Amino acid sequence: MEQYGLFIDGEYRDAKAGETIKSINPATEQPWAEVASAGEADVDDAVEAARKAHASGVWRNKSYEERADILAAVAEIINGQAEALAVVEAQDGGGTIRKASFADVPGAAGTFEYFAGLCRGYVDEEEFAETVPVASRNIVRREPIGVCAGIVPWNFPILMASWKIAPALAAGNTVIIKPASVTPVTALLLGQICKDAGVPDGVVNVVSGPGGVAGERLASHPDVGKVAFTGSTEVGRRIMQLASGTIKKVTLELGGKSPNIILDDADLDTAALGACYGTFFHQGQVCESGTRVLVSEKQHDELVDKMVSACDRIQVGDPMDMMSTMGPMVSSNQLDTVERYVGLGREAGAECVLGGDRPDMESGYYYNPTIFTGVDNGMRIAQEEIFGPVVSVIRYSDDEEAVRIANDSMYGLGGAVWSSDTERALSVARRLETGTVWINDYHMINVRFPFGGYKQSGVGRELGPWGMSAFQETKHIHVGEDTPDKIYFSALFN
Amino acid sequence: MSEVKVTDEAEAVLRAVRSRHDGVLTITLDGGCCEGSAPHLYEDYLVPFGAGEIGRVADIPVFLPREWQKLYADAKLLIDVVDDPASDAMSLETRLGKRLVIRE
Repeated sequence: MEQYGLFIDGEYRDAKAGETIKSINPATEQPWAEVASAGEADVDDAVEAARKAHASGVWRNKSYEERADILAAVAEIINGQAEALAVVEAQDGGGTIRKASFADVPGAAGTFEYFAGLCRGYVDEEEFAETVPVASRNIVRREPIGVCAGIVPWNFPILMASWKIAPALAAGNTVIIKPASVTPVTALLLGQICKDAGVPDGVVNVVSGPGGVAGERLASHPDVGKVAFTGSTEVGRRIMQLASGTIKKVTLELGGKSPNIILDDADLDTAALGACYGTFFHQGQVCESGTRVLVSEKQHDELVDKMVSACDRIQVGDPMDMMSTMGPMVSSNQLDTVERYVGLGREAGAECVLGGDRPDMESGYYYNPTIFTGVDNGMRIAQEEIFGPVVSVIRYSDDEEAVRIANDSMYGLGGAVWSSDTERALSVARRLETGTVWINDYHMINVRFPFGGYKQSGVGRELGPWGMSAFQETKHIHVGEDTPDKIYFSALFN
Repeated sequence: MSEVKVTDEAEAVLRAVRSRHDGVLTITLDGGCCEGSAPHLYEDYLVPFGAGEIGRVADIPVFLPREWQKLYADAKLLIDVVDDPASDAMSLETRLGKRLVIRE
């Protein structure tokens, strides 16, 4: 079995207590790697390494050009190791090798490239001359926060780690990443990749370990200035509570139950593919999945027929096979959750028109693409995030009702509108209470543009310059006139 | 009325957690996303506005978030436990390599 250590202060090491976690390959149900499992003392070491590195100025005093060169070098090394990283990713999390090769690994490299680009020519000080209320020079500076923790999920391990590391480094911070315990390996590898690219020791640290120990310690530790978390709403709520102890900055990218609205002038062939892609990509284990398909009464049956036909082209199978387009669920727990919700959907009277069962495989936590019709938006399968390949098709009578149903959710992460009339689609998109809306597309997250949630889908935004701002403090320096004649001092002095 | 019960195995785990913590223990039912919808067991938890107590298991109150109360009006929930050494929930039983789950 392959062995991996914690990456702290530029080197791999065992956990102090000698604890390890075995990573199970979800396709074989067998452990394939054993990784060190950080206890509180290990997290404290990582925080101390990051704190010292930040205090030394070894990273924050580098020019933006120097940071850009190193971030670009990280991207280059990721690209150079792309095939090996993709294989690790597929074994660790059960995502297909197709997804790892075309989405996760190039996405990770692209994230570092993008933030390298943002650093080039970056202006971190703006100056404003003011006469009101007094003559003054005003400098607004962007500075790093300090030690930033990134807690990342198992659905896009290397990509989500990159979404935290790249903007944090671009802004001049030091970082500690806690990968998900079921998919820790690529994040641990990223530690050495950063070092090889020229990131100084202590600037990037990676501590695998249970959320209840390592995650909780990071979210509570007084020397951590910011926590960026991607994961479930409940864990996000807990992180926010823990972070409140020292008023940490937080970015939370949480769950969703996103609406995928098919307007009645949409091209149904494409919309049906989009409805399936929006839900079944990566077995539905994607936070912005379009798990509520909203379709007009008159197009309902035709759309459902086309969705069912489209699923013929989905191949559930061994994630290492380039022809597989859906692999297993990440864990037996996740599979149990999906089965429970499919049962609840049936009990509530929704009709399962496709799937609702597991494929016949020798091993692996596989589940078939599943389509429910006759779903009322008030049913639990329409309100709770299943995080599996289960889509609820909901009817609406007009655009107004579609918007109302779409917004009737505690979440507000993603969503889409399909229409042949862009202006009409835009008018619906503008009324959706979600952080991202795609028109005639799905899952097109772009590193240049902000991503995050309304309502209980999160706090703050990642990616683009907005994502870099989330790793910065803003400072105002007022340069007053060097004169004894300060009339406003009369507020205090006679 | 929603109703919540607990299996013997889960109750034993809750008592084991109780013996390790002095603070007020709370279970909240929530989740979705990566952790799945599941019970979360916390010490000194700030119960969100409007969350309602739907019962007690092993003397620990179980809360449902405000948004879920209508959805779960008739739910019969059973809190069970599984072995899970790799959970990332911040629920206290994970420190024992266990994870509370919902059966219904």
